[in-house]
Amino acid sequence: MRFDDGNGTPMVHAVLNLDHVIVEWNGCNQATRITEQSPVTGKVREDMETGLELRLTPALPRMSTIRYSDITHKTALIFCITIAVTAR
Amino acid sequence: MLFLCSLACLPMVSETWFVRPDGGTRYSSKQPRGRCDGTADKADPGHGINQHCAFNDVRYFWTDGSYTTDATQTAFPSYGWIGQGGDTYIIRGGPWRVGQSGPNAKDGFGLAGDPYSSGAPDPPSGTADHHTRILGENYGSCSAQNKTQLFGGFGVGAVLSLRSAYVDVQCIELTRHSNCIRMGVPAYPSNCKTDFPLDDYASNGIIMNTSTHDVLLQDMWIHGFTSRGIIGPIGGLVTALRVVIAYNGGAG
Repeated sequence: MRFDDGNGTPMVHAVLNLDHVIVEWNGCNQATRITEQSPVTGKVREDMETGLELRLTPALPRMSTIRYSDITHKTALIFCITIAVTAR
Repeated sequence: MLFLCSLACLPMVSETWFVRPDGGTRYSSKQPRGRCDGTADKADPGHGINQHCAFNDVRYFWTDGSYTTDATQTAFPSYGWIGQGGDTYIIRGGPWRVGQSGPNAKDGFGLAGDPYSSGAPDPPSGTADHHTRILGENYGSCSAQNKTQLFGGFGVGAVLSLRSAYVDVQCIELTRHSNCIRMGVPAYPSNCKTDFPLDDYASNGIIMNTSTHDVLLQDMWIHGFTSRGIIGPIGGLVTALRVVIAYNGGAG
């Protein structure tokens, strides 16, 4: 999932609820880290760039050539996440 | 107040629309010889016009096939979904092509001259109590083997636009029927031809924007697109339940 439409449109009150979702073998799955201090802003990202709340229950992003789930990717601000989500 | 509500409120009675392989062509003001009105889960009776029978092409949900160059709802019935928010759209059979019908400029189905915008436009938004529902026929017992396939082709930008609210999409597979690519080096087996005559490719499965909220994607398989499985920001709650997004060239 790429949440950048090419214009960097911000998301407000966005909630993505992934329940038994698998994202795999896609060519390029950039994403922002879910919680990490941003080297750009110095703030904890927590998806603040996009205003997205992410819920995983469980979801399994895996085996894509860059990194994992393509969550909150923004063209001008590419971060990659390394999250390990174990299916229940 | 009652007058205002009559203007603004969605009808309490929703309609169910059907597509099936033995359905008929769509009747409309611009297609007066069309056989079916799409409101009955019945085959084309073989005679008459505007019969209560199913459509025989999923694209009849959003175009009557008449010429237009306007890909917005204002072009209705040439383009834009039939029905209203809260309606249910049931798709039997398949696979069903989405996009124009062939590789050349004159192969448009409804929308002419713009194969890239020829995907399913935004369905009408439902309400919190009455979601618009787009359903593969096996939605009640959906499995990996019985999803209804919609495949994009001939350069379509997205098979399905969901820049709407209170919409459920269930038991549907989104894909394309070709192997060319648009991302990656080396281009194996080949780059997609993006001008006429077009290769039979589709860029994205679903496109969303900040108008997208209270959308449910359930029991879906989104795979094989040259760009993204799902692309665009969202504007509220989007729930994906039992969805697999795989083998897309750009990102999931």
